[in-house]
Amino acid sequence: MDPTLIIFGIRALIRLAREGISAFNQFERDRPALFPDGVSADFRQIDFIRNTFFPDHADLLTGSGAFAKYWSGTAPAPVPGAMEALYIGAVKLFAEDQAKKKQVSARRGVEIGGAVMIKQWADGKGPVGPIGRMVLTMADIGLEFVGANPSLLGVGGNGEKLLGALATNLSDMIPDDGDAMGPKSQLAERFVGIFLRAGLQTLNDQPGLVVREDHLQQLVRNTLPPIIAALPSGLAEQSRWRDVADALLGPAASAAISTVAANPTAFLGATFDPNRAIGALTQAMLRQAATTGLKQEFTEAGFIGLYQAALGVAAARPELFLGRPGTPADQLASDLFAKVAGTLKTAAPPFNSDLGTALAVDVLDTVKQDGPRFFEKEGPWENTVGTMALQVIDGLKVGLTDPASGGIKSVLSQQQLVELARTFLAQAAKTPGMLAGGSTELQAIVGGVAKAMAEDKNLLLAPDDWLAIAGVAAEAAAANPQRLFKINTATPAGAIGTEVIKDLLAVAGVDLAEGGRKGGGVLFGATLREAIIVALRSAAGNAKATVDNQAALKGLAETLSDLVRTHPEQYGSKEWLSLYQSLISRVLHGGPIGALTEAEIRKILEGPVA
Amino acid sequence: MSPNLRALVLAVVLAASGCAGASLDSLDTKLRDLSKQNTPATRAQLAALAAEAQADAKASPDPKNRVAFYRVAAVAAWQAGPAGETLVLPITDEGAAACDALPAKDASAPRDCSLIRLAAPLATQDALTRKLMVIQGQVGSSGKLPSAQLEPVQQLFDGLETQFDKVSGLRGGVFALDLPEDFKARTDRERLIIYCNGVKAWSLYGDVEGAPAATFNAMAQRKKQMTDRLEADGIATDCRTIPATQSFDAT
Repeated sequence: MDPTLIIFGIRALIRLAREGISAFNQFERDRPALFPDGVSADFRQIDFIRNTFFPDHADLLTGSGAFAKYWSGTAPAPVPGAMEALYIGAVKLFAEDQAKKKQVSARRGVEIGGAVMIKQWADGKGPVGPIGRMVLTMADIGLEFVGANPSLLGVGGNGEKLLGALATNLSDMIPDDGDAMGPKSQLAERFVGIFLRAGLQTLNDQPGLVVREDHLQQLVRNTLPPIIAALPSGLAEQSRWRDVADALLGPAASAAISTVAANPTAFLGATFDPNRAIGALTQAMLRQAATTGLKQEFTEAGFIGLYQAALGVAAARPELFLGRPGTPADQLASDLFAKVAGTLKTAAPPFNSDLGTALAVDVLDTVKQDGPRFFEKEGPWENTVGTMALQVIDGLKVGLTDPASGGIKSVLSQQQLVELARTFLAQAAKTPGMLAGGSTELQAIVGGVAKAMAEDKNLLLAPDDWLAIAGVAAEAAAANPQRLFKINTATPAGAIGTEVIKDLLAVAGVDLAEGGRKGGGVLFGATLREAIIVALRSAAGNAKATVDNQAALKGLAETLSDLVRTHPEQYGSKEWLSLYQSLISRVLHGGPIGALTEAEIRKILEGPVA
Repeated sequence: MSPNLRALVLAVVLAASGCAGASLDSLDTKLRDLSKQNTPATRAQLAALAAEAQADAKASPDPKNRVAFYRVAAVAAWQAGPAGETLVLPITDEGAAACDALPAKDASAPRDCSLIRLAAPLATQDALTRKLMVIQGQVGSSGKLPSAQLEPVQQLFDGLETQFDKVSGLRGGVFALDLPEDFKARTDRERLIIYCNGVKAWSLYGDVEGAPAATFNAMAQRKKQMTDRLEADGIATDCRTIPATQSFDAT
């Protein structure tokens, strides 16, 4: 027989015997023991009387006190019935006193009479019980034995080494002295804690037993220490799962991401070589996540969306990342994330959250699709991604913050807000120069439309109508620079496009006040949308005439609305639009049209469009 | 390892370690039985038991076992009455020192240490109360005691008041430990018993011939201070609920 086994057996036997004796002694010490009652003398009637009257009610026993005639000095007076009268008085006084002392429990102090047997510990407190001590000691001996002789398990190979190391680690954490095993409460939870720690420590010490690849071993070595440190180091120590969770989400996650970022090729494959655009971008993203955490600047979904969009750019246009002398690709990618984060951090709500990220994603998608042609040739393109999103956001801010109407947030959902912004971005991407030289034209267009939208207090247009109007406004403004919006800063809104929309909304508002649908009005919904589109398209090519004849244009809409409303049997939406489309040109060039005769109306409706 | 060798090793280990639990069990059983009988003969046996447990405590190599033996010794000396009066203080002093030597002091053996610390004032109160009961028995048909009893009765009140202070002082420590609620309630009950005996001593003072009213009233103020302390801890001070004779309901 192996001599080491014999020695081990003797040691185990001694330890088991010693622990058995300790467990037995503990059992005897902790079992219920006698707590006798103190000796008590007879409590006489006179004792109760004195105790009740003195000292608080002593005045009742002297002078003109109610019981003075029954009392003399320190004892009842020698008069017939004195003791009975005093006792009845004392009982009454005592009851009154007790009623005043509500915090006093009548049962407290008298509920246990005579000698009692009392245990050493309150329920759930105290050390691990005798049986638990023995079981843990036997388990510890077994673990020690397995740790020293892992081949006994017959697992073979790395599994044998792993189990041996685990057994040794676990055994080290179970104290040899049963008194050091901690309290019996939550023993199972503490055991889970040390088991977890032993397992992770084993992995950390010998990752090669589990994974062969060096980079995975490195990942294990870098990630596990903070988690191990957060777990209990011994059976007596209580698990602090909150600390473990914090370690997992904080230092452990950071270490894991850093490890992957340091060697993305090994973890993610050759595609993610840092010398390639995708690899550089991924490395930058991981480094940012490791240093600041994903959630500090973006939400998780927002960050992933941004990363995916940037990946799209890197895959379609790698030269944007790789082609700038003096700027490494990973630096450029880092700057991209940092600039977008910085821009969105200061953006107006609700664009300082995922909505803003969605806009940046749209810009990146546009870059991917249309290339960098809308950027300035000089200067870093990655800066413009944030700038472009910010111009749209700042433009929308005008409409978002209108205190009177509640702004366009009451018209559009958050998703529709993004759709609206996307409409302008798409147009800007198709229009070289709109952002060049620090131009804020995009912001002006967006702001003009947003301001007009905020005027739709009666919700005469549906979100889809507004999106269609925005598309036309953006297209018309892009094709006719400096005309629809910001043509003349002297006008109240500084933008005739905005004024035209507001005027039509005002006329529609009057229509509504006159009874709306029931009153025969048609200027709402699709009709209003088409009217605005017609007006914007006409104004885009005739900006000065529109400014000069703004009142006449509004008058035309009012005239047509009155006509349709007063002749519902003859005219409807189609007629309103036909007349408006035909007559707008005349108004722009000739001013107010005056009253329309029936013959004139019929001629316009039947004849070719003027 | 051969079976013989294994047996030898086990025997050596058991002999070397000593099995204090068995001795403790035996002493505890004797303590229960003798306390239940409560006769002069058994009180003498309780004194002997206290001495035996004290000796076992001194001989015990395990600190917790030592404390457990001192607990048996302290309770036995207390229950021995007059026969154990000289034993109580040395035993409780040694026991308190043994508790102080435990890794977590009293928290390592909360019931045993608390009982050791309570035993001395409770034994003293028992001794004082026995004297009080004797004097109570001397009250004549006139309901008066001779004036010679003025000083002894006042000393009884003083002594009971002191024991009340001591037990009240230990209460905070008892309530801070992981002790069963029964133990805490029992500690309060013992305070109430001492208080009631104090009230009886003070009342008896009023029965002594020529008792000066000024002294009587001054003692009444001190009695009120005890009342207030009990009531501050939520304990009703109705002494009619405490039976005069010792009962024993241990099972």
